[in-house]
Parts: sequence; structure tokens; C-alpha cells
Amino acid sequence: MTTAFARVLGAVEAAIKQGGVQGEIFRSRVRPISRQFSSAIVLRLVVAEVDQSVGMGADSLWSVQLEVDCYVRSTPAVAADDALDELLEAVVAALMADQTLAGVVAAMRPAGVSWDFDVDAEQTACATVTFIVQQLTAAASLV
Amino acid sequence: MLLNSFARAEQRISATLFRRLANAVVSINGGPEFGGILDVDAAVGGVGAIGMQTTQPSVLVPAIQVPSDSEGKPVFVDGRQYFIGEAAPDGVDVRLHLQVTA
Repeated sequence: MTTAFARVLGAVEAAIKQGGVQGEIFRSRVRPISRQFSSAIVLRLVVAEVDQSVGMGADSLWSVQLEVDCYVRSTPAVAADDALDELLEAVVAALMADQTLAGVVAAMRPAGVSWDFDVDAEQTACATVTFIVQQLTAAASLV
Repeated sequence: MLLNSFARAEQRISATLFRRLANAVVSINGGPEFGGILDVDAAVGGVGAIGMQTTQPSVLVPAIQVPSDSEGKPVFVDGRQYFIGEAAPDGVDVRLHLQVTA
């Protein structure tokens, strides 16, 4: 049986795929994005905390911080910031199309975005979207 | 121009270096072709939590071949087009850091 957190990752991956977003999707990848990928999306769980004020001991309401990294590299035809903006918009639109991720989570909303740029042979860029996901489990359980 | 002995020696060494070690044909902004020393290292673009693999190509060329306003100019190295991201003086030579996009 998987934890509620793994279900969040699976549902996010499915929603991005269903949204037709271009780019390879990785879960919790730790190696740099390979040169074969011009764009990629990395899903990372950061922290999960129980809201003690709700549930009356019967359920646990988790607040899960999820980070979605959108990576792109420039090509002679497309600048990195343009490619990044397009990927960022597509990812957030795919995830916000159904903020319950087909009923897997209680709610989900973006809470912040940060950007990184670098240049070597190509310009590389990453926009990280932080989402707060509300997730219910049984009391004293991760399931 | 009167050069001291160290500067003369440095110029002789540089000329010998390119004569013996040049491994690429370089042309800056449509100018004449000359020899350069190409180096293509693996690199990681430091973006996001994990970065992106890329390369860090650079070519060492004689300073006399490099115009003063070289940044952003197209440069052909062995027939492949790059753009000059940065021209860094390296003794009497210049190391051109290359980008695939302007």
C-alpha cells in the first residue's frame, strides 16, 4: 500500500501527462537532466505536516509541499526564457484543470514560483513552482 | 613597437603553440580563417535543484584575430556556428567562450 504522498506524486504526474505537456517527467530525480532532453519536469516532495486543528482525531489533514521543477534549454530557434515560460504555463494549467487531481487530493494550489538561469554552450533555465496540496488520511496514518 | 624580452618570448611561444597544437579552423564574423585550439568540456548548467547537463566549448585564438567588440558575434569553428559569449584574455591569446545561441 502506498502512502498518501506517493499517491500525490502519481496523480500529479498523470495530470501533467493528461494535459499534453511536452517534456520528460521524472519523480525525485537527483542526477542533472541529460543532454538528450530539451525540456524536463521533476516532481519533488519537500515536506508534509499534519494540521492538528482539524479531523477531531478521526482523520488527519496533511499539508504537503510539492515542488515542480520545469527545465528547458535554449535552441537556435527558441530562447530559454520563452521556452521556460511556455512550459511553466502548460504545467500549471494542466495541474489546475482539476484541483483535486481526479479526487486523489482534497485541494491543491500554487504558492510560489522561483526562476534560475545559466549559460554554457546553451542557455539553461528552470522555474520551480511550489504547490501546497491538502491531503486526507486516516488518523495517525500515512495512508 | 619595442618589446621586452619576456613579451617577445611569449609571442614566439604563442605562435609555436598555434602552429603545433591548433585543432580547429576558426573564422570570426565572416573574417579570414585561422587556427585555434578548441576545447569542449562537459558542464552542468546550475539551474533548479539538480541542473542540466550541457557542454562548455571554448577556443583559444591569437589576440590579434579578435575584434574588440567581439561579444555576440558569430564565429565558425570547424564549420559549426557558435556565438561569442565572452572573450577572456589569456596571456597574448584570447579564450572565446562559445554559445550555440546569440
